[in-house]
Amino acid sequence: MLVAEMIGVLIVEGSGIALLLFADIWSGLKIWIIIFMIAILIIGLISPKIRYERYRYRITDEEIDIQEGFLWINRNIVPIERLHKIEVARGPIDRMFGLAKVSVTTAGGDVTLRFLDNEKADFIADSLKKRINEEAADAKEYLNSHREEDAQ
Amino acid sequence: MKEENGVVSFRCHPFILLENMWQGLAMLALILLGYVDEIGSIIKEEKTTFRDFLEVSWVLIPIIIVLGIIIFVVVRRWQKTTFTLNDTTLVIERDTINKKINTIGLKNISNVNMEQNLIEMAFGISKVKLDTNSLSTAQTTDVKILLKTEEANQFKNLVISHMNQQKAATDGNPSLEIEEEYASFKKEKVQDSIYMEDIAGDDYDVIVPYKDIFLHSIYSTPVFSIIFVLALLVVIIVGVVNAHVGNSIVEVAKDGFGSLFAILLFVYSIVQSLFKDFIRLYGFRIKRTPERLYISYGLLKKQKFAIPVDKINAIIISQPTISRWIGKYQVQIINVGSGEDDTKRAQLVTACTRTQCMAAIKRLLPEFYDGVDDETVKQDKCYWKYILVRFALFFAGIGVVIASLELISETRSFMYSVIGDMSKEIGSFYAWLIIIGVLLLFIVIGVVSSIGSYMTREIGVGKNYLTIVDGCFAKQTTLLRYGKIQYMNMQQGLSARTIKRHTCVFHILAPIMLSVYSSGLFTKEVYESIHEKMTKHKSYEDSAIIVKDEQVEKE
Repeated sequence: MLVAEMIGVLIVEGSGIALLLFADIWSGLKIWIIIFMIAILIIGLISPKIRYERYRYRITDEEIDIQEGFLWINRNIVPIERLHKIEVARGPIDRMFGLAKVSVTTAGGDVTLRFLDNEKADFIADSLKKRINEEAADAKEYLNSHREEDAQ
Repeated sequence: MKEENGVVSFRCHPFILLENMWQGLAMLALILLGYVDEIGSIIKEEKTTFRDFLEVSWVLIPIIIVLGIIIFVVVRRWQKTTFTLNDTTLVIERDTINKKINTIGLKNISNVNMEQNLIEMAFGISKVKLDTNSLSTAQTTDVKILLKTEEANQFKNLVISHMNQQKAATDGNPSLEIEEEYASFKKEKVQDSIYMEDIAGDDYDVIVPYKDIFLHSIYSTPVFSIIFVLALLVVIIVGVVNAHVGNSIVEVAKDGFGSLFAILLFVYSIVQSLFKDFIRLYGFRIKRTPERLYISYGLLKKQKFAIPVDKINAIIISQPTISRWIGKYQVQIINVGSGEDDTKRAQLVTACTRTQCMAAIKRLLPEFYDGVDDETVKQDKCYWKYILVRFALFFAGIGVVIASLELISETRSFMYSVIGDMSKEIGSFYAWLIIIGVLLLFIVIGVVSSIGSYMTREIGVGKNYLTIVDGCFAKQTTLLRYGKIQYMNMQQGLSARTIKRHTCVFHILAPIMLSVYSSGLFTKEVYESIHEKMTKHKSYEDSAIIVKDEQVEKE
């Protein structure tokens, strides 16, 4: 989490330094850019710790519950029955640390579980796939019984 | 259209060539317009030097080449694109440089709609639009087919009948006997309501009189449009007063406007502002069958929707500002594929009183009727603490910016030079008045929208529906089925944390502008109860809702 954050900070700081050194801009604006860069650096140093303490997830038979955030706390609750796609992705930073992310897709959008180690990510993906199949079977049974009642 | 052994195959009507090319042609025509004089003088042989010829040809030749390419590509694509419909699938095959075969399972089609604009009406052709219940294509129509109106109706009816048979066959029957029985049972039912070529005028459950559609159009006009029209009217009056006495009215109006184009623009603005909905919903009528709603309306662009009831994800009971002042309500449907391309909502009920609106919902969508009277609660008084904190943060932010501008010498001198320039132009008093006025305007807007939000924002956690009420001047009540909520996102910012409240965003399957519904500041317990119901209600339970025939009665 810290590395991902620091890479973002480095990109912003690098762009800021490039602007200061090579762009012909008004000196008042330069001061504002420096202030902005300092603010980003401070946020970049403190936010990973807060995000890490705050980040948690829970997967039950019924739902996936993910809580995360820095200034704004976000909590995504996704019933497993709504899922229709599971994806396991490993970006370059994830691969450096043996991590992966699991993205679950519903008809209303995606939700992602981040910073999981590879084994856990694969286990979660497999378990979710099994649950999706079980839910699909339950749905079929429910619809059949409903139509039989209707026919009667 | 050719039919062989139950398989129908065809190409789109050639008119689609014009529809596909017109935008490219219009752009080329616009470019050519810039060179009309030069081309004209070459044709008249006033200037025939080689240089003059070159000046025009470097534009003309590429235009001719691009035109040729457009025509070739569009015609070839039309020639090589075929549609094949059988019992289970619609196959769209395009055999050009990139060969593509799209296969759409009929059971995945959620909407089968028809559309006919003015030009299509003149040529006796119609568009059939098919949509699948898919998030990835929720923004646009999946398939558009242009056919002669009679063939379009036939095709539409065929698709719907195959869809119904497909649904009956694939919902899973344990034995062949029951499957056969089901198929014949369904076929009888299907013939009743689906094989009709077009629903006869009297056979609709609701036909809205033209007077009511006109009133709906007035009641739905945004207040800003009325202000704009009134402002234009003032401009005309001022122009007329200042115009020369003794001229004809047209000349006076032209003087006032400056050109015929301005007059046309004014007339168009009036029509667009006040009568847009009248033109859009002209001839509004609905029929409800056990599984579908058939909606038809339109003057310049005729639209016909066939919406499966189980694919309706939400309804919105809305009151635009004027409607709210006079106590009128209207209802729209949210599902993938319904509504026009720009609004994405199909109208269910036009502006009427609350009693009439509820009666219409009970008749046309009784599945949602249980939810319309669910109790709702407003945000509690902690909301004002939240607003105070936000205003405090806003002013603190403004203070920090101004202090920083003061402290940094370059920005301080820049700031004062801007104010100085303004003072030179309009006087120091007015310069400061403008600055303070802009700040006050932001504050007033903030206060008014906060009051409006507090007065309007409510939430209702009913047995089967979530009710979200929103809107500052216009009011909107959204009924979401729990089973159709795909996921929820609870949020808590810095200011909300001070009062221990959350907001929440609910996501459903719908085009992007209609797929997200946010609610106000409520306690965690309220959202936990919604969470519980969302998880408990399965999406397939809603698919099994079939309203018995006796529940849909003609008045």
